[in-house]
Amino acid sequence: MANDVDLIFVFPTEPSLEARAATAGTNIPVVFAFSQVEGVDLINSIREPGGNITGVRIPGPEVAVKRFEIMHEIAPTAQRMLVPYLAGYPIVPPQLEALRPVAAATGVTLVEMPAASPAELEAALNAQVTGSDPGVDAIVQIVEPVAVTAETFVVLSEFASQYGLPIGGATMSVDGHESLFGLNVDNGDTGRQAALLVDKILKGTPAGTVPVVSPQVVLQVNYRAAQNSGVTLPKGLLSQANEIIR
Amino acid sequence: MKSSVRKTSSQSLAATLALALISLSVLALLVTSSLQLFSNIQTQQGAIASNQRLVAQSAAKTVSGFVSERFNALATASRLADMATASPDTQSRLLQSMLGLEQSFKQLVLFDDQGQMLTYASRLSLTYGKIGEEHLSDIFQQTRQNGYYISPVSIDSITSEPEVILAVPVNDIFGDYHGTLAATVNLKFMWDLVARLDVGEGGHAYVVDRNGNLLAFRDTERVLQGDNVADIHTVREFIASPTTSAATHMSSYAGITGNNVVGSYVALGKPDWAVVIEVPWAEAYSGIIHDTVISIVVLAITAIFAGVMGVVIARRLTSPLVNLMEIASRIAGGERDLLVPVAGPREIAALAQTFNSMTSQLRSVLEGLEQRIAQRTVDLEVALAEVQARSQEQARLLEENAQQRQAIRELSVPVLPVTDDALVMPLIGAIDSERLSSIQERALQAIEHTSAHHLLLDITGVPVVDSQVAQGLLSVAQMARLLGAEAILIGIRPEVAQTIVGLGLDLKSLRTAADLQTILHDIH
Repeated sequence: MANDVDLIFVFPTEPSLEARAATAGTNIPVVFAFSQVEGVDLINSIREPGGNITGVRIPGPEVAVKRFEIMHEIAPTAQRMLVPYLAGYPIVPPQLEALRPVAAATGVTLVEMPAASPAELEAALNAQVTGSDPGVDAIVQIVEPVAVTAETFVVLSEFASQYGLPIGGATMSVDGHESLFGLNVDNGDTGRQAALLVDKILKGTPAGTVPVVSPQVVLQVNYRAAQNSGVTLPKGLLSQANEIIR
Repeated sequence: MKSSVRKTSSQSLAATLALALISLSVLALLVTSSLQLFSNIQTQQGAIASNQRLVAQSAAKTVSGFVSERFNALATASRLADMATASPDTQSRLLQSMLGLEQSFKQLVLFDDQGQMLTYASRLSLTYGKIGEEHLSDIFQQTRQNGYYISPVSIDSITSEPEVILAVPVNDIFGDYHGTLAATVNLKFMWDLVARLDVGEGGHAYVVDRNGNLLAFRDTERVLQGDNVADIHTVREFIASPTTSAATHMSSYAGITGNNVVGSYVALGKPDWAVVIEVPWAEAYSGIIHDTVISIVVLAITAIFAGVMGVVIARRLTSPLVNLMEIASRIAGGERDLLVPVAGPREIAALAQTFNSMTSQLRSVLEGLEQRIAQRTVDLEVALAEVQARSQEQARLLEENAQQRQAIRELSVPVLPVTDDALVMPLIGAIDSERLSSIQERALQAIEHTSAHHLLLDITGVPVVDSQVAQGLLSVAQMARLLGAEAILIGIRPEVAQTIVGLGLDLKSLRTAADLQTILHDIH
């Protein structure tokens, strides 16, 4: 703002919200990426975002539910699904609201675990262990930041490995710790779409009139991680994967 | 001899001739160039229209291919895997495989021959976007008749992206119907195809549905906004006549970007969409514009050349005439010995020769005339001198005559002193007004000079005394009385007395006497 910029390109959701608030009353357009628009006060609507903002969304609730469904397909007997997330992160509630009825419909109990740090998460994980029972049957990552940071993912992965739990949702590979699958927005497509939006806005189109774009969602399945952890991946899942990591 | 003066132009002959030559040349060039240009435009317009149609058909093939490929994928899957009789697990895996193979499939649903859903696969959550009930009736009606179904375009409520439902029948090897395989297809995967279509440098293609809703365009923002472009000319034509397979509109109209374009559309038939091709007017007609510019430049250069040539030719033609005119003007100014150079075109040379001959003849005629005029002038001077001499003689004679007449007038009214105290005026002959005046003048002068007291007016010799004479005599008597003399009328003859009485003249104030002796006796 102090640098009198022509446009702010920002990601993910929280910085986008801050950018929107900071540019209110100015004519500086904001283009966001990897930002969830559901459940947060970021835009008015997909078609007409309003204000001076537009961008490439991340379909958080849809992705979260689909990740749950894939995990349920991988581990159909799992009755308790751990959902770790960053406490107080604004885009999480809409995802949980979407997840809960789906989980209930499939007879799965969601074990929602908010945490502010890896240590806090590790403590929470250990706190629910009863003897040899880890308290959960699978771990699914939703769209939020804590479960995709390296340190936290290692904590989760080690916990899953210790108790033979499948873990997946976001594509992760940290020091030999890997998730089984990742359903993610296509980074390249997101960047390309965002670049087009920036180009259009810099050429004079008011950002608030440019519809928010939905990027492609790609499914990556880590066949190698599944083999290492003794998980048999459904052939249907493999066949619909955009990428199979071997 | 009559002469007429026509209105003359201030423009020179050379300028007029040059102007005429230039005008004719430019007119001829304009006519031929225009005809050629018109013919060229007609030909090129045909070529442009043909090219437009080809591009539009190619684009239509691409878009049709997008739909056909998805239909083919569905149909192939339904046949190869024996989907109708496969296990639920196999069916499910097959649908999931299709999701992996084709990104544009958002979801796939397999129905049995009774319309019951057998299995379902979705790219996103299973809880989203099942195929709507409103489509099922049409889907089964089409597929049970071994037909392919494609739904009207709908908009994804979350992403605002357009999508359609495709459905194919699931048949066994005998072609008997056993179910339906339906897929929701995200049309945004068609956007890149349409955006990549080669429509010239500045042209573009877009796809509209039957209602003019934009389905694919390189500016995806407008598609996502649900833009309806039914007011664009070609789209309006398509909506008005969707059965017309293709049309090209060669005249300019405002296209989808607001620029002036020429466009074509090709109706796909099934689906009931149209692919519209628009090329900027300037680009489409660049060949024609180029040819037109070249023609205009050539025309301008030729016109300039024609103009220069016209001026040169006009000057060459008119130069002898200008010389002739200048020399004629100098001759008119008095330089009669000048000759016009006999040069230039044959007719003008002949004219110069004739002019020289004419001026030579005129010169001879003028010289003769001058000699005759000089002779006439001398003759006239002699005649004038004679006339002047005669005139002087006549004046002298008239003067003499006037003197003689004066003398006669004086002699006709003599005043004679007969005594010291009396004067007598013997009047002889007729008395007119002039003579009366003389009588009065002479009588008064005599009375004044002699101091006589009696004036004897003897009218014995007057043949007639009328009222005028009588009045004149009375006037003389009155004037004489004023000078102290008495006028006495004598010698009234009997016939005169009769006349005086007959006319009623009153001479009572005038003393009369019978004769001179009697009155002389009386007054002495």
